[in-house]
Amino acid sequence: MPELSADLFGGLLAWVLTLMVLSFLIRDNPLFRVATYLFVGVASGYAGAIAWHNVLEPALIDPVITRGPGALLDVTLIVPWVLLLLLLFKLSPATSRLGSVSTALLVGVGAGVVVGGAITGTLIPQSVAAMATLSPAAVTPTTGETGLERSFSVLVLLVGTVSTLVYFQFTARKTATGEAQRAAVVNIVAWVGRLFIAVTFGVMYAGVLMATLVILSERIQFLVAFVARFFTG
Amino acid sequence: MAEIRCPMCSKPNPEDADTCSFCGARLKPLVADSPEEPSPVGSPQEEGQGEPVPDWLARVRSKAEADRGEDDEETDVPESADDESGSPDWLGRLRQAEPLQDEGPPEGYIPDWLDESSEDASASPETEVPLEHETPAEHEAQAGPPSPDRPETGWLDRLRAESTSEVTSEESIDEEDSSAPEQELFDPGAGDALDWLGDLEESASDEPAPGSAAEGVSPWADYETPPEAEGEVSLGGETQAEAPDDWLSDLGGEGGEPGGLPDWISELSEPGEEVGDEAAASFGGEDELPASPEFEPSLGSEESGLPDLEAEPLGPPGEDAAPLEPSEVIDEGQAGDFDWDEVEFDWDSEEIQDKLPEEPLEAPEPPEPEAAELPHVPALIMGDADDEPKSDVQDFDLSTVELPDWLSEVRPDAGEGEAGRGDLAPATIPTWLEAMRPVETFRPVIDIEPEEEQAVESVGPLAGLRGVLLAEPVVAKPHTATTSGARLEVTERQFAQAELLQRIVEQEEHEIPATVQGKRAWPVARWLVSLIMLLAVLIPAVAGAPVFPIPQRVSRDLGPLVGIVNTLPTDRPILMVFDFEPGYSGELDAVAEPLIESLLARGINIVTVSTRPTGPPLAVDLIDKIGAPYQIENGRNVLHLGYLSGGPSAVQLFSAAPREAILKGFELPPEMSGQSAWASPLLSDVHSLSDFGMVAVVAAGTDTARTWAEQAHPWMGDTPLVMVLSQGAEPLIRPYFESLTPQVNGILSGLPTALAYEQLNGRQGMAFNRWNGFGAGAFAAEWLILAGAVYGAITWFMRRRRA
Repeated sequence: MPELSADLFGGLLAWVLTLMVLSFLIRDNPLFRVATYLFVGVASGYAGAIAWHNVLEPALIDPVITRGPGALLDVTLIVPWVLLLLLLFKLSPATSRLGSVSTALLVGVGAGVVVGGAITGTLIPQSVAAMATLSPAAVTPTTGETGLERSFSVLVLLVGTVSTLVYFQFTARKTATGEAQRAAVVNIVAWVGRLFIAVTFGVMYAGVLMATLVILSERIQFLVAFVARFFTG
Repeated sequence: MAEIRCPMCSKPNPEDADTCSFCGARLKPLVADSPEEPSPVGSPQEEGQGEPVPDWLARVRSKAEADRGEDDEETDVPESADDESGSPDWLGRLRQAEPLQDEGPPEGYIPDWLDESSEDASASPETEVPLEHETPAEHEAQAGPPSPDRPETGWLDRLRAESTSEVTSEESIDEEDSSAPEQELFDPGAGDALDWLGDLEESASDEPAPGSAAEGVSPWADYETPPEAEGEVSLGGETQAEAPDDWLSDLGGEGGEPGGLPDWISELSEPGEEVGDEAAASFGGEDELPASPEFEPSLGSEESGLPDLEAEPLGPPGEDAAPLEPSEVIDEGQAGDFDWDEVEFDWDSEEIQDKLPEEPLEAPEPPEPEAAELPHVPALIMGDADDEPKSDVQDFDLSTVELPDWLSEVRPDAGEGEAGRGDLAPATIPTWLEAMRPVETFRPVIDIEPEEEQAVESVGPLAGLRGVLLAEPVVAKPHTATTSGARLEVTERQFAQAELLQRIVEQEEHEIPATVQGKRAWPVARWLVSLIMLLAVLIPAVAGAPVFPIPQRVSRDLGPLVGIVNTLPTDRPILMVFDFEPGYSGELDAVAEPLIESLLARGINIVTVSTRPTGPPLAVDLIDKIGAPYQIENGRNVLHLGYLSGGPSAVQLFSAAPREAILKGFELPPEMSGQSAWASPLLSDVHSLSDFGMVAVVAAGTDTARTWAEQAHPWMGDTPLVMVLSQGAEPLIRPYFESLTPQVNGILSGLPTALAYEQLNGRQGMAFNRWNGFGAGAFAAEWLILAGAVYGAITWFMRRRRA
């Protein structure tokens, strides 16, 4: 039996917590709940510590300490402080309106960045790429597809893109009975698009399943290795 | 093409159609065969179906209907006269409609009776009336029997019915006077008319009222001509003769106002006094009324809406008419039954003296001679009212005249008048007005006919039967925009969905009772699957078997990545982003290991950063674990920038100005204590993201990977971007990799690819160690999925077979 060390204690704690989480296979039980609560608490505490040491202290505290109170005259320092203090007003419902300024700034800047990035980084480039990729003469630099393979890929890409877009086309004509009825051709194309969507979700689910199998394998190996290490020293 | 609207279903039909093509209802009433030629003026039948009632007459009737109640309260005599003695509703309507300014005969129209007078007097060219004379018999023969399909008035129906039995009397009338239609205007049977005639009498002359009964003198003593002398006209005498004279003279007084006098009156005013005198003479003392064939249909036909005055005697014509017993007139009450040749009035009899007024008729306040108060001539002649000049003349109030009792008794019953109005109202609505009526209020007026005359049901289960309520007028009723626009069309499916939604909402309001803690079934299936999966992964880890073969075929995605790594400059550090949670470290550590190992093997310095608070320690742990064989040193070969707070905004900021986004660092070497990570010589040449040799993002989710592809790629320049992904996130990132202008230059995803990369590096790492367990688990999962599919199919088949 090895000596009790921090490394061994950590390994033992990890081993126990792993078993507690796997106990959920039996049913929901307090051990599983304790383990989950512990993980959530530790993660939150650790995130707070990281935020203090990596963000708040170097950005707000250290300038004041190093440069003295005169640093507060720096606009680049005053504005973050003001926004921080306003955000603290969110702690009380009576003064929460004052913190809306900081919240609005966070939400507005975040939304603008995300939407702008999605348009310029995904929507336009992917649309252009989808059109350009349809050319059988084009050769992707990453995959190097050529010939029949390339034509098949282009065909699959074209059919998948069009049929998926048609599937999300919900405009239909109103029949005599008042029901919305799409044209037969549109229904067929939409059915193909639904197939593509199902295949995509299936692939994503299979990927997640493979990832979890790797994780399970790693955990089982850890348990076995720890036990072997514990008994073999 | 003119259309006839079916009175049953209100659908348009061709003009010549006899029956409705939709409901089969007869459009033209059954007309008794008549040898007479149809009147050129237009028979009532035509009026009722093809041509609507003139607007002026429709307004007269509607106005009279609307103001009936008000007049009953305001007037003294006419109310009782109308109600008790049964004054004809046509007269009441005329009385009510007198204020209408657009009534009256058409422009240039001259009655024949005036025509003849004019001929006698001045031979005026206006007396040439092109319309042909039509006898009442002809007229009624053309009108045919009353039909529910033809708009008629109740009184007209009665008169027509009576008139058919009074042809004899009419013929006798015709024998004496070929101008019988004119006599209709002053027919003694139309005792109802005496109120306005009396009004005319009182207002037109300054002569004293007829003698009272107490004096033993008949009230008609002042009349100059006996009934015989006037032919069929009962209203002889000076008063009656002067009434139209004054009437005309009053209108002539209006002539001072050009707009207030119809043209035909104005034209008559040119011969003026001659015509008036002649007319007065003819009314008062001459033998008979002048013939006016054109005037007859307007007075005695349905066109004008006026009663056939010919059929109703107008009471005692004068003093000489004493042989006629008024009681007979009252008792019979129908003019058509009278043969004026045989009638004699005994004005001295007690019976008639009792009915005569005890006091002379009191004339109402004579109307002011101003034009505004001159009497207005009601529209007795069919014509286009629009052509007539409008007059602002106020009509005198006929209701202010007190009538003798016997005149009141002569009037028909009020009930008949009401019934007549009831029949008149819906039937005389013009077709254009009928079409404008709302559908909901559309109720076709259907008189119950004999069963043999009723229409045969053409549709539905009652098809072929008579005497049933027709379905088509209800089913095929016309739709108007007012109803269709306001009504929400809901299909059965929509209704069902609405009900479902309502039930869902109602269920949300119900409090869910606490579930009784019963005996729960053991999750045997879960246990079985868990046991199989645990054993599948455990056995290879413990026993080292089974051994799954290492994939020999290298993934095509690995080529670009290896090429990038092998061509990286060694003097520039690469940036490695650890954006995953600790839970995915079991997979991503194994996948990223061969990449990190190849970088360290080439002596490329690594700088780590993470947008997650838990990312920096994961980076430190993994690189320390992998770099141990390569003896890497923190701060020399590897540097941890730490946590990058702010999500996508921080990524963009870091891409544009890395030194402003990261101020400190994580797990810096001791010699850099209190300093920023950018003070490290490792980052001395790094001022932007493009200064890194490569950016590798290790991510478990698609959002994080896409954020770096979107936000960082514009700032990277020629620096390649590589993604180390969990296998579940790889499908959504692959489009960034396989495009013609890829935003992601390399992808490393999944344990098989990592194992291939390890094999390429010539070293067995975590991927290799987990390969057998992963293979066994995947194999077990595949069989479990297959077994589950078979079980589901069998269960479905058995359930279907049982059903």
